[in-house]
Amino acid sequence: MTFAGWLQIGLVLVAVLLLAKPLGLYMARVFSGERTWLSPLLVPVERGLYRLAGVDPDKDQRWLGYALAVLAFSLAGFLALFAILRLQGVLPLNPQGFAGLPSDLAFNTAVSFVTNTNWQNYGGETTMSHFSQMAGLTVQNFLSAATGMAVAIALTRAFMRSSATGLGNFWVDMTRATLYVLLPLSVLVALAFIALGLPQTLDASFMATTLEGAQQTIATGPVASQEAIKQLGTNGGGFFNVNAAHPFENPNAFSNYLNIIAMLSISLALVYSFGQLVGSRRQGWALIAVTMVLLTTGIGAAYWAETAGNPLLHAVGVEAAQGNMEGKEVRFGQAMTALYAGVTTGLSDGGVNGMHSSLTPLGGLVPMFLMQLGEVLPGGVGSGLYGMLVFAILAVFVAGLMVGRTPELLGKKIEAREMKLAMLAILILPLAILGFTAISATAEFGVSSILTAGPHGLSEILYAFTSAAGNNGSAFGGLTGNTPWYNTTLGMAMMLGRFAYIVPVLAIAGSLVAKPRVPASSGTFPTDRPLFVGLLIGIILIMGGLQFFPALALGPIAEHFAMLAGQSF
Amino acid sequence: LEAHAMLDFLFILLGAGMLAVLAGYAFMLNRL
Repeated sequence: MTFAGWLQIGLVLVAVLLLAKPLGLYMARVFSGERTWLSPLLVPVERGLYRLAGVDPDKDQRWLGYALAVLAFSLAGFLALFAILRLQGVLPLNPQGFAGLPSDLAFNTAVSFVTNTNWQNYGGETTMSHFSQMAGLTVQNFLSAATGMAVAIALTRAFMRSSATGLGNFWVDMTRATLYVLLPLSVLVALAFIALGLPQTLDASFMATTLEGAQQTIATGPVASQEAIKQLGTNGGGFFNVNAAHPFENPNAFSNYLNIIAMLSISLALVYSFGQLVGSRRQGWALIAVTMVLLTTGIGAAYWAETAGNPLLHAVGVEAAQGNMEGKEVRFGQAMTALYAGVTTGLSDGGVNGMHSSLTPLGGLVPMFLMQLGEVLPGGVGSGLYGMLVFAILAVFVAGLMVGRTPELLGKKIEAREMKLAMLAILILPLAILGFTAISATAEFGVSSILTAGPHGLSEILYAFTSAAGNNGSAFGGLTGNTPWYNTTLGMAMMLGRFAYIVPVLAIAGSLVAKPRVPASSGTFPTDRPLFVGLLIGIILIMGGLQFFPALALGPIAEHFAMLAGQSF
Repeated sequence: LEAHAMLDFLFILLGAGMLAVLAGYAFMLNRL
């Protein structure tokens, strides 16, 4: 590790922390329905959309109505995207003449983008028409991110309101998230990406003659616009197959900075918005502190593992601190690869600027474990916030049991119903991840897709289902995912990880919003102090460790010890 | 063509069916 490396990592994290307050305050105003500087331009558009859709923006929904609206909207998105992908061959803006996707791949991709996962079992530049990229995938990049933000805001209102029934209106929250937050930021970031050299064109790919005289197809298209929302919405699905390792998707160090800042900014700022909306900015900062401690530790561990390198390569004279570049882009180096890998998996972004399968065993363990911690560091836009609040509910309950105080979070009593619902949400991830991994690791149709033998092969499968159920979408690499088995089961894992989590979360919101907000008393366990920050960190680590350590021991940890004993996979 | 149509139908059924089951799950949690 070098000072310059840590300085690069530190600069990005400081920039994101500086953005959290202004962006968080702005989003708090947006979701409160207050005027913002964009209101003169966007209020008429917003009202027009409600009129067109027949939505009464003043009508609050109870939690069940809110949840059904989320599910119905996602169903419509799934059906529309599935149709676009299957009918791609006869739709416009297809200069390459790509055929429609096979049914299983269309299912996987449609679920992937509707659930904000953006797992890609296809190569973008060799499979998707411009129309599919723009009208199919990019539209879902916006809408799935807005859906996550809406659910997070609904849960936030459960803490804001006292003895109420309504959680807000999903259609209004989703529209505001898209119009006031995602669209303006996407325009700004896309223009910055174009200035940094990303292509933005509707032209077809073109042919180039290489220095050896060979003909090579250079793929291009509307890359900058998709890249912007890919990062801002923590979607992660790249225009190109190799994602942000491609020079057209991430051409230089500045675009790499902007990529990471863009993917972190909304998720982290939304935590600040939460503090602002519930009237306790200290609570927002406490949750941000939890995120930053765990995220920085993960990034540091990955950076250390990559600069420590592989002793088998040391033996042949490779200097690890400089030379361990396997799986990394030369223009980014070790620190920026470790930072990207940590951030993209702490978030549920899933974009990659290197190949995670090529990291050292412990370097590969870090992104996998960050996802297994529940995608809350700071997690996907919206989904990270509501995931973190589920852990906070668990933490105050455990604290209450330990010290005999009544479990309360922001004046809301946490009782048996909220705990049962929180556990239903938390347990869906290990169920989906370990269940599908176990079947795939033992059945021929699962094992036949892995590239590498031994523990690394198990890591390939475990990473895939972790990424899918966590709605992350990053690929470890190695696993051939485009098979009927993996297209179907990864799609199911994504669906469970997203919506079987959202339903109990909204049920918690419905339960909490009905409770009176009681003022803090001498018996209240303060949840905005360092003690709670430490407790919450402990709860997140213990939950992740208990659920996934045995599987990790069979995969990357076993591979690490095998490497020390002289065997590599 | 028929095989493709059947596969399409099955995958649409799987996606829509999972969301429908989750809607039922929401109704169940609401009654508890």
